[in-house]
Amino acid sequence: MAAVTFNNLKKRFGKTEVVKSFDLHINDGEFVVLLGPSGCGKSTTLRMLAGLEDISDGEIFIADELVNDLHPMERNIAMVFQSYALYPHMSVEQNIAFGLKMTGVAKDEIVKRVKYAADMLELTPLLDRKPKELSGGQRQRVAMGRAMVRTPEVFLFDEPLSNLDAKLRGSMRAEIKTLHDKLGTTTLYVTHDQVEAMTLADRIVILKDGYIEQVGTPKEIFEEPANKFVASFIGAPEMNMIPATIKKTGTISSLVFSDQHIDLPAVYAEDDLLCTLGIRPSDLYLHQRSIESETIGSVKADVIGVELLGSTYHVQCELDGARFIAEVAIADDVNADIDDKVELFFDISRIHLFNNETGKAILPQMN
Amino acid sequence: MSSVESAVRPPVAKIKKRTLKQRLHASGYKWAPYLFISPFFAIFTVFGLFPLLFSLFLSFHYWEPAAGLSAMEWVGIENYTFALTDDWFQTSVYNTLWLALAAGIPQHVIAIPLAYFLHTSFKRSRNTVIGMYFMPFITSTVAISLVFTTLFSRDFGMINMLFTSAGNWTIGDIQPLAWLFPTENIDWNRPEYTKTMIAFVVFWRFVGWNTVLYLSAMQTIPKDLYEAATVDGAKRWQQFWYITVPMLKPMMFFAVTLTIIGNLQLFEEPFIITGGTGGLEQAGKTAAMHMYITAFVEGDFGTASAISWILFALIAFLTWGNNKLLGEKK
Repeated sequence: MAAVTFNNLKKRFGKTEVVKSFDLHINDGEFVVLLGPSGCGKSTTLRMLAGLEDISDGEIFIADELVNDLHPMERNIAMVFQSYALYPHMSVEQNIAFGLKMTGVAKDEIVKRVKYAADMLELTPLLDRKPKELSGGQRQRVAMGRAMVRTPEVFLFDEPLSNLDAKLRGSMRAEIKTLHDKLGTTTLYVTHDQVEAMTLADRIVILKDGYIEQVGTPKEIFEEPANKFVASFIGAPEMNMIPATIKKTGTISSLVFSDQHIDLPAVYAEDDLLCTLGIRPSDLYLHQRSIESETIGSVKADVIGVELLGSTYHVQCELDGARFIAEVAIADDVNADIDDKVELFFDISRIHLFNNETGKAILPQMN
Repeated sequence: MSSVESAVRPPVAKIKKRTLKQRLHASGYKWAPYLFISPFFAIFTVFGLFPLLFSLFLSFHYWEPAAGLSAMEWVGIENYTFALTDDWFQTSVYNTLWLALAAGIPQHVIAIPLAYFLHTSFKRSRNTVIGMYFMPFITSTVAISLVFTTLFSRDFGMINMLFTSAGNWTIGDIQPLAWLFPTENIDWNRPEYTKTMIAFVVFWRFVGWNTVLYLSAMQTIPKDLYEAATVDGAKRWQQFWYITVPMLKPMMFFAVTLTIIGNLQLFEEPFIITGGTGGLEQAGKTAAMHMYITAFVEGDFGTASAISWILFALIAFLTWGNNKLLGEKK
């Protein structure tokens, strides 16, 4: 196990800079997920750590050792690829043992470690099979076994579940989590799936266009998004964004819409500033009684559609030209219909305000 | 017929004759697919199936073509027994197998690492280099054979010049390379050298072709496998040996099969290099040349046909062996 540090890491392909000043410290034994849309530089960062991609600028340390110029083998890392990258002509046993064989580990030690990994990953009955005779989940487990037997200091996962169906993805997610809990190895995991990130990570790093947008625990990322991008990237359905203006009258700040306003319990330094109100669909209610809070606000909006999704309704609304969704429980007495005007209630402490120009979160003044 | 009869007779319904277009339409054009694929079958029957069956038929007959088809005389397996016991045929088969091994094995042993080198070391100029390697394959065999005949010329050939220069190189009074290189010009037309010369020409001509085949197969090996192997600690030669070579097996089977077929039918290079005679002591005469000479010089089409079927059996047997060695294991 080892800590990993990235100092001002950069990657350029020709003139295109895909990773721009990446700074991060991963603690010993921590499970960190790099999350972001396609092309944000997350896989490139992982590959630079693995040594599969040259570093254009910056430094990478594994256990306080600068690894910039070290061969992948010398970095003592193990990687699980998106395609599993299993050697098709080798059996499961040979696949798992390959790395050990290449590094000259003694035969009896190889047998012992392969058996340990196979037992842990329930691969023992499959050891003689070829990869083509395995299901997607089994292949994934073989790839994990191959990484495990080398007892690396850092595990790297490059979108390992993206080729699996939804059901299998859920169970493999749990297996990866269990494996990490058992082994406690420092792990860097790349994905574009926020559910994987939220469920697996000790900390999530959100990336966009080669920059880190936010680093935090899943709860911090979900509840305190640093900017509009993070707010809308995390959460399904995504956070509602409604244009508004912050106005300050004396010591009271309020959020003003075209024909209504909400008084905010906190005071903001900004006055007469165009901003965006962000609120998650699950934080909107049709009845005041559904909220247990002292700071309840409400807005009136036009209903433009109602969708039943089993246990919830998606009430699609429009306010000042912005469309948004209220996700209300089926038990919440949904009496809204298209063209109705509804009053939507929410806990004001659950709202987020974003500066329209910078996209950054607007925070209230500290007392 | 009286007017009374015609009055009581019921009117005969007029059957309207359908046009060709209507009849074709009514048939649902079910014959159309057969019509469209019929050119292939017609051409295959005339130029493929008929000669095949005719040569089989012919191999059991004695026939002088000039006397017409009626001159065919049934001889049973005599043509086969004659061919198999004929010294010249045996020599030609020996020569063919010798050339197949001497020209064929190096083709693959060199083409695979060469393709790996091109695959891993060339990026931008790869296609140009591949084009250069491929050039001998698309060049006329006649031109190649003539060029090599000149290169291997005893008195003025460049090969002799290079070899004797190396053999006669002296340091003081010592010729340090004389044990390896000749000090006098070699007559490459001598029986002991003829096959070597032909094998070298065939190797030179086909090594590029095989390189291109292996290179195309290497390009289909997922990059991930090499990256996984790199992370697993495999060095470059280990990646070549443990990943590239096993992954090339299907292409090896294909390429070696082509080599077996090609080399056992070897004709043009030895024919031109030896001036169509097979060289001194028939040292450069291949089975295909022997078959040609038997048919078109000696006019014995029956024996020539038998030789062709013996060659076919030999090719089939070696391909079966190749399949056992390199084919996909179930």
